[in-house]
Amino acid sequence: MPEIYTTNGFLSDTAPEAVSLADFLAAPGNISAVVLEPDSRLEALEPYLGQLAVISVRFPKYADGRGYSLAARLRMHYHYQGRLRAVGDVLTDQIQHFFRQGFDELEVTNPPTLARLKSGTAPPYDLFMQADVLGKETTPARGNAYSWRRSA
Amino acid sequence: MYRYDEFDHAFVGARVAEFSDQVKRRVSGELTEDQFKPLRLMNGVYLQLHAYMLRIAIPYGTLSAKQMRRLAHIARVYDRGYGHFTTRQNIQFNWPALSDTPAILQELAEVEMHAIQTSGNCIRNVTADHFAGATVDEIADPRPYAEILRQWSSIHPEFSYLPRKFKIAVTASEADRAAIQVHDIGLKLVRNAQGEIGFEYYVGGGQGRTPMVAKLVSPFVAERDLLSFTTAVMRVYNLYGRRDNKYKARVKILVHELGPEKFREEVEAEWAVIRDSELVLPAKDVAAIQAYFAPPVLRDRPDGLIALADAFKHDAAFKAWVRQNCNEHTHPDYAIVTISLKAIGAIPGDASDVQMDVVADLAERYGHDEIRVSHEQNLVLPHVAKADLPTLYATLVEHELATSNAGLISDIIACPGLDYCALATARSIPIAQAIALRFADLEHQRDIGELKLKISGCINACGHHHVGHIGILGIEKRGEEHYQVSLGGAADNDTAVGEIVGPGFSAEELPGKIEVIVNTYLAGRVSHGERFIDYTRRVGLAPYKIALYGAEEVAH
Amino acid sequence: MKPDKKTTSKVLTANRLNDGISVWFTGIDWSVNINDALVAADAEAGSALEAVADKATAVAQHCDVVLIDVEQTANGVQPLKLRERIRAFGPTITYDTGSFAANYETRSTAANVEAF
Repeated sequence: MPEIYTTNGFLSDTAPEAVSLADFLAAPGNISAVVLEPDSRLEALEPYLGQLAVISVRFPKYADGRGYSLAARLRMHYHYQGRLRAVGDVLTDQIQHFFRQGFDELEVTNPPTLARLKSGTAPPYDLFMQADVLGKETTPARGNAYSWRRSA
Repeated sequence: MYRYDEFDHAFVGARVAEFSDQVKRRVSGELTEDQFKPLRLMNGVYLQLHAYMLRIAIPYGTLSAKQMRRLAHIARVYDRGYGHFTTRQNIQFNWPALSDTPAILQELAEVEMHAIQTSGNCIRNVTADHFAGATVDEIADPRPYAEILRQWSSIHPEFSYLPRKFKIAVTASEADRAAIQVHDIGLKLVRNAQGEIGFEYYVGGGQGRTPMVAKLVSPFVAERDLLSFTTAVMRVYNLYGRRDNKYKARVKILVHELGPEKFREEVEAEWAVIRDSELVLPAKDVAAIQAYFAPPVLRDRPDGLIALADAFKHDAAFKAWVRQNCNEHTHPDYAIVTISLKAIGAIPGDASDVQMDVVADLAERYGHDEIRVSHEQNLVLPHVAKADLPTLYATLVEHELATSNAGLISDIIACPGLDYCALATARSIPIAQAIALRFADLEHQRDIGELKLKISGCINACGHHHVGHIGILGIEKRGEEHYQVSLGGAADNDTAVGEIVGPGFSAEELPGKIEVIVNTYLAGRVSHGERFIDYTRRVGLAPYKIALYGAEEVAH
Repeated sequence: MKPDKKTTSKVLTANRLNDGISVWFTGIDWSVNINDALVAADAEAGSALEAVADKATAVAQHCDVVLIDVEQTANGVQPLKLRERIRAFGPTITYDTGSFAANYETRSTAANVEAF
């Protein structure tokens, strides 16, 4: 069973069984977890967002950044309130991007990344040049507090 | 100019610490080259033919004397005594050791510089008009907006893994000196009927394998909407840009394949949701950034006119330099000075550590501590009193920095080519040198008039050959270097992609063929006022083809 | 005519991890001089060379390890491709004039530049 990394550290996976977007749309029933691909379109999913507890977004290659924009749309356009999970080939320096972009949890498979996370290294940045998607970050106390700047 | 506050210092410091750690992990073997490569690229470190290359960002090409001196120091201590200024207003060093890069980045951070996002599939250094803040024809200084975009795009969590690299350029002048229409996003400051500042917003220009002129996506994006509209463009590109083929992954291909109308619809739909979000740009923040770019206090120097008239009488070379390399300043007693990095036979865009130090000294003494890097690979002192030009010129002459060729045929843009670059298919620098030497006579160059010659050593077009009045592309043909010539390209307000004139030439043939092209123009122009590009637009390629290949060849 | 890949001589080249400088495999170690390289007679010998390099030296301390085609000439080992000749002998442009001369150091000699 994969380990799930959250802002509170590693947790065991408690997510319900997930299905692909196509399978879900064919028979949504009571299914509460779905897996999106980088090229998934969100429009058809909109009516069912309330019944979903977990949406996973796959990152088959670390260099494919589409999932970050899917996360932004789910959170900001559709106001999705459930858990948002990133799954796939993830490098250490992307971890912070995921949490800032509205993900709550990561299913990490990349061995060096796993090792790094387990060693408990602090995230590299506590100052940012953009607002985070969930609005958890605050106005920075250091330097000028321009509208685009945030602090962890 | 912009100064780091406590936030910027901490931000860049965190990046230096992060990269130093990554280098340590790579050298210890914890990271493989495959894992390390994307990380080093995001810090501007490439592996080229002979060694690593470090590309350092010079945001919108603006530098202080102190920063230029630090670049000279890096050239001297960590490299081989020179650096290469690029068409993206950056500087590249060709020989740094990987193990020295953390120290170099630390030295840069001390003078408020970095190498963040000078490579990788992210938003690159934002460029701007190199005459910004000094030129008479702009509606406002474009650099505060470039600075806001620079900050907002730094380590952006959503836009660090785009389909391909992404370049933004900003201008505020009628005469576009920033080549905005060959950028992924090109912004031109404009005022609406109410006098408010906004942007003509172009998307989808670019060079490379498939050159395209950008499309106007909005005639007026208000200042308050700069970040929200840009986010909408970036999000649409990030989601729908092609990732199956790196040659089709730039936003120009998305705009082309969707069509400008459909692309605009997608952007507008995205923008409708986010335009009133926290991405709204408050006027007070714009004003705060603008304050950094307040023009220097220029005291009147009416002595300049007499000083110049005097010097002109006995120094024809100085007079020619003033005519060619100095531009009109908003203050009538001052001039914008272009320092040519194209001495005849020199390496375009290269400067030695000594030259960098000299320019820093001159900027401090005569130029209100400001230096610009132009996308044409020259340096600019934007605020020099005319009265100081004779002394300034004398120092430039001593250091081979006073060639009076700004905008002339020997003011060549050239990429590093196969002498350094791992991607190149042919050499560029020796070609540039040979052509400049062929046209060494400056009087002849002045007679030819404005002529933009640009050379790329491969199809990626870093040397902007597509938009050269004369463009040269080096390719490999049966194991030999071979050069294709295109004519009629332009990167200004009338941006156009040049057309290939015919079969290419060997390196030995090329300078002679360029001379044939220039002579064809000289023989055909109606007057000295008809520039090479005007003539070429008027008559097309036919006279050139006949001159190069013979009437019979052309008829077949 | 294109040389037959299988029967051309080969040397193993790489860039050093630490400073990125181009080096060639001598059979025991890596040298910054291509003339120190062990020349494999053909593709098969080249593969053997790669195997030796893998075991004998810290390949992990090198990047972009690759076999290239060369020929033995009176002037020493010459790569067949211009790109590799430039890698071996340095940029074909000189920095020995004016203000560039002061701090420039080079490992390419005038003779090497002449080779082009």
